[in-house]
Amino acid sequence: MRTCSHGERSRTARHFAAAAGLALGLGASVYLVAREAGSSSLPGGLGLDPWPSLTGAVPALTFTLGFTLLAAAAWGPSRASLACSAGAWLAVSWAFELLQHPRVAMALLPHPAGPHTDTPFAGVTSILARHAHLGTFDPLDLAASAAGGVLALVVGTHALRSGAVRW
Amino acid sequence: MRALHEPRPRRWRAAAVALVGLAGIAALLATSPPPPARGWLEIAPQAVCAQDEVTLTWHLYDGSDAPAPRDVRIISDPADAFDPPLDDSVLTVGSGTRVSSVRATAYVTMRSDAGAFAAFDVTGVTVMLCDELGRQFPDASDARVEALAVEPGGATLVAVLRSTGWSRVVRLDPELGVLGEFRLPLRIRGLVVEPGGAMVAVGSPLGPNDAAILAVDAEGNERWRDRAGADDPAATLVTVAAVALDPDGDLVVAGSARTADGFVEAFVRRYASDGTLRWERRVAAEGPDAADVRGAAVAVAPDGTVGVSGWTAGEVAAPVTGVADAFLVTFDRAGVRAWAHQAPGRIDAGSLAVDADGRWLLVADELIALEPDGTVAWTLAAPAAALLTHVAVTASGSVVSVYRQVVTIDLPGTAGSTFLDILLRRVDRAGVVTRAWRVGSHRDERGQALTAWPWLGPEAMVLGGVTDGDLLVPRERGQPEPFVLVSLD
Repeated sequence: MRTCSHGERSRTARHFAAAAGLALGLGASVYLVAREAGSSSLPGGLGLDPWPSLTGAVPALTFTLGFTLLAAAAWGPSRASLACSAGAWLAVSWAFELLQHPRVAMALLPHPAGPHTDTPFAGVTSILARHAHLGTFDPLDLAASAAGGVLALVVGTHALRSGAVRW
Repeated sequence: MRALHEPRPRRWRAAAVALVGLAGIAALLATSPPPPARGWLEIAPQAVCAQDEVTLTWHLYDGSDAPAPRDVRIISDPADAFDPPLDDSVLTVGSGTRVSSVRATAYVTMRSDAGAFAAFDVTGVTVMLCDELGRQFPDASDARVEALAVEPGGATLVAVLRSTGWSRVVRLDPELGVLGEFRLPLRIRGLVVEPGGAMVAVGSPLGPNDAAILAVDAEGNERWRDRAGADDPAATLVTVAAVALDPDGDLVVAGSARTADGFVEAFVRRYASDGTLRWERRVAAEGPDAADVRGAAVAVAPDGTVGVSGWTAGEVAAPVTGVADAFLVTFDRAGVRAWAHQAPGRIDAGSLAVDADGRWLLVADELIALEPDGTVAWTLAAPAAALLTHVAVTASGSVVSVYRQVVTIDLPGTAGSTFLDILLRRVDRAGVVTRAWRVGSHRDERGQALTAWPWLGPEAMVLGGVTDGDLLVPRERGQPEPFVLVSLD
């Protein structure tokens, strides 16, 4: 059985982080270039999107991929940390997506455009409420998140086996 | 000293993972849509008829130009209040638009072409029932219409406006213009107008030596007064709740008094038109358990039979079924008790009317029609979320019942706002509902008095009450205002 030295683990962690940075950068670029201005709290938004149906799910995929690798790198690359990280971020990603389902949003949070927003923790709930009520639930995002988690496992496992990844 | 390539301690790794977690959550929230712009909406005119058009104009708090809205959502509820309903309808508009048939409550959100919301609070417009006469009393804010009466066969309507410390008697012409008014030293609960315009008002005395019954002329000058038994040291807290005219011109009053044993009894008294007491009868709880019996209403059938109704926590004609029952006890012209009826009701139940055939209409949990011999002719259950409060009989013989109904208006993202509306139902002689209509604004309305006005037409009715909203006209001081509303058909 092959054992990994700390130097190898550190190098693999850097590669995990680099891959995560690339994935998250790709996701952010979708918001900056493809989405309409004012559609999110991020600056920019050029609205240059030739394939809206395709690019729509890219951020969901890159989010799970990027943060799975980043968390695994922070804990220390291993199959266990990869699996835990992928599971956790997939759960978070799905939870936030499901929160945008109209029935879930209506049941859990006041509408930010509603007349009764003077609720306790209004600051926190208003951000969540914007995400829940003004965002769009898309089952494709759920699938993309799952794909991002699987992709993170594949990429991470490959990196762990090879001990080093040439990017 | 730790070696250079020694693994990091577990707590540092946990901290690093926590930081990554926070960054992930922040990234998710950063992609949320920005907060909606806040604004306000103007509706003009604020009072319209049900089929009129209104103009909506919007402004944003940040002073910028209004966004180019793509649609305006108007949510009106209940949908059956106006035709056509506008629930969830989407209207293509410019800057200022015209929509028809807006209900009294409108919640509007606007969505710009870019997809951003402009959010508006609940905005109300008064939708009047323009085929009917109405009058709101802005100079009597915080008062309510406590009683209504018309002169037999006459063109004058008398409304009693009552607040905490005063009672105003207002005489109105058929156009609801004020002919005159005066105040009386009495917390008025009921009033009748005698032929010629003289009146008798009943209620609670203001002071320990004041009258409970005041007979005045049309200008408010006192003719006679009576304390309705309050001089008896064994009777305390005497309140006269209702008064009716006998076909022969006698007066019949009903009320309650606390007796020496601490319980409340209902009473009915018959007076000659000059104030001479002819007889008094009491209605007390029977059976093993003593309980309060309160007289709330009185009516006189064409043959002179007197009916007194109210509510009780005890047994008047049958064992009590709940917290309180409604009851009706009848007496012949001489004051001999004839029959009694008791039915499930509630505290304050007991409004009463009688038609030209001597059939009694009793307000309990449901509307109960009783034949002159006391047998039940028919019953009519209340609609959902509605409490039956008043009943009256029109000149044509149809029955009009008034309900207090809770209306829930679903607004986006809220559990719904609840309002009180007044629901009216016209019932034929067989107990079949022939017409139902609603009186409501974007706030609460309560019906307090109901009477027929035969001079205006065979089906003419007058409803009196109080509005917390802008029912007929915008309120002047933002306080509840009394109103009267005439229905002609």
